[in-house]
Amino acid sequence: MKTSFFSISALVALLLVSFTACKKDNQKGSLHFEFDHKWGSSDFALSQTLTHPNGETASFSRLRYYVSNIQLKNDKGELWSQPESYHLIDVAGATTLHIDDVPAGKYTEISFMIGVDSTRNVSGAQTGALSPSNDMFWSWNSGYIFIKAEGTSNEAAGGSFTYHIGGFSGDNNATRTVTSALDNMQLKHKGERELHFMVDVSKIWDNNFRVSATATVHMPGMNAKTVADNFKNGITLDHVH
Amino acid sequence: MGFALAACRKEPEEQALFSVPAHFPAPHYQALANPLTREGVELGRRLFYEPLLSLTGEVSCATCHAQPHGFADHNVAFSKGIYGRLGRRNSPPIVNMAWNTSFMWDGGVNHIEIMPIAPLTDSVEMGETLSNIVAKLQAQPQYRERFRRAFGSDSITDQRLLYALAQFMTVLVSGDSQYDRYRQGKGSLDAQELQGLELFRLHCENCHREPLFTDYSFRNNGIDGASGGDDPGRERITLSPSDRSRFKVPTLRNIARTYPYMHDGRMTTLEAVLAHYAGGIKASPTLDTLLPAGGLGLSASEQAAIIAFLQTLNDYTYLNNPDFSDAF
Repeated sequence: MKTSFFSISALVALLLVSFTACKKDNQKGSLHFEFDHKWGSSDFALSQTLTHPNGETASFSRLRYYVSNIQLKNDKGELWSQPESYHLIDVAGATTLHIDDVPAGKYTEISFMIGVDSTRNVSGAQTGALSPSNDMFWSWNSGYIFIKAEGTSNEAAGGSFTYHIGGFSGDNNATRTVTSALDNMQLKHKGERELHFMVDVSKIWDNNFRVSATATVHMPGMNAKTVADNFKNGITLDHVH
Repeated sequence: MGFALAACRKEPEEQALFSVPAHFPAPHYQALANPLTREGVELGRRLFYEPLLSLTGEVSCATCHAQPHGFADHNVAFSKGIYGRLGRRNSPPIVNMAWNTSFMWDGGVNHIEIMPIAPLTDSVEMGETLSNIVAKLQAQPQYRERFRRAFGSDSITDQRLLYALAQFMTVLVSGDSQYDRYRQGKGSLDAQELQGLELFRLHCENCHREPLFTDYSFRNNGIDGASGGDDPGRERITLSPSDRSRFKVPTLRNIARTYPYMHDGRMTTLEAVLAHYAGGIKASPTLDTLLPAGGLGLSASEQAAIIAFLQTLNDYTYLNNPDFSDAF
């Protein structure tokens, strides 16, 4: 009987300790991301003739890209990465994403990759956002298409532009990471914060990259990296709710 | 050797499904997320012979990869897909795929599970989309049931379709030819075949490495000269000029059945191939350093001996195995 009393109290004590220890780790919230597509200071839209500062015009029929490997840094410098972090943003469809099970805390930085990391490019048949049925995968030169931008342009040779941006190995790596500072953004238990990103699509034709010179990019290489750089530079964190 | 997850508890049936000959190295494909099962392999076989996977319902994988021909095409240079459209490269034999480190003549595909995507969706081959194929299969009760048995759910997905095909391709192992039996001390080669093997080891081994008869590297074997051929080969993938006219070293297993030869099927006979290596190798900036321009200088009897040896690579067990045949 003595043994059992001690066992029970020991058990209760253990439970209390483990409960209070776990409680902190179990504080989770959500993050909501909005990708607001712009053309310079105006709104971006498909099937609309847009004029670039360089004078060239474009009308997009399609714009989709991978946002992956979402990572947060807290005020202690600790990093949290979303597991299985692969999302497909499509101007014609989903321009928001929602992630749960984010540890509560104060955050100073957020980062994510535009594209798909090299490991997943060599890992065979995958599902969800990484399913090859999403039309964002090269069948003849294995690898994901990180950014797909298609449309028409009077200045493009043949009248249309097709940018399929990818490449994950060595010198041709076209994955790019967007990093934004957060002003001690607090995420409470069961709370939710909204991060509004602006995506200035006109930046694709930055740094002297012109649709008149290059209407097609459909494999890894120099042009893919240029567009990847340009597109990434057009993404900024505008505000947080 | 083989499937790490199941290594500790290897089922007897799994061993029978994928049997690795003792003299083979460990396979490259570990199938960790896609363990072989009898149902998975059987489903893969049915899908391999299923023309419903094509846009017109007329072309299956087997149309261009026929078992009697070592799972290459019916002795044509280029294959015909939907609407009789011609392909651009000679259909390679599907054999010992679990050892491949890359797929296609230019190595553009990096994983066995996603290899089928190209032929399934190419407009001159089967011309479909993965979503459509999944929908077509989903509409068939017998496929829903087979997917359920193989993967535990009758909700068909593109991943499971690709997994099933990968399982079937994995079991297509050829390792029981006369040569293999000789290697294992269970059979013999005659004098000419032995001479051929000796010459093979002297002149061909570095690229067509035993026992898989390829080292999976990309090389220019001098069938085109300095101006190059129509096909850039590996350069298309790596964008490196030093890869111009380089193609994957093909396996020589069942070679007598898989003619015509080379990436564009330009050589119809083994005699033509040996004549090329003997005296026809053309110089070019990317000609493989192991091959002398002008040829290796093999005599007629040496060429004949090598051909006699190559004939010992015919694996009649493989070519006639009913487990690999059309189930319909």
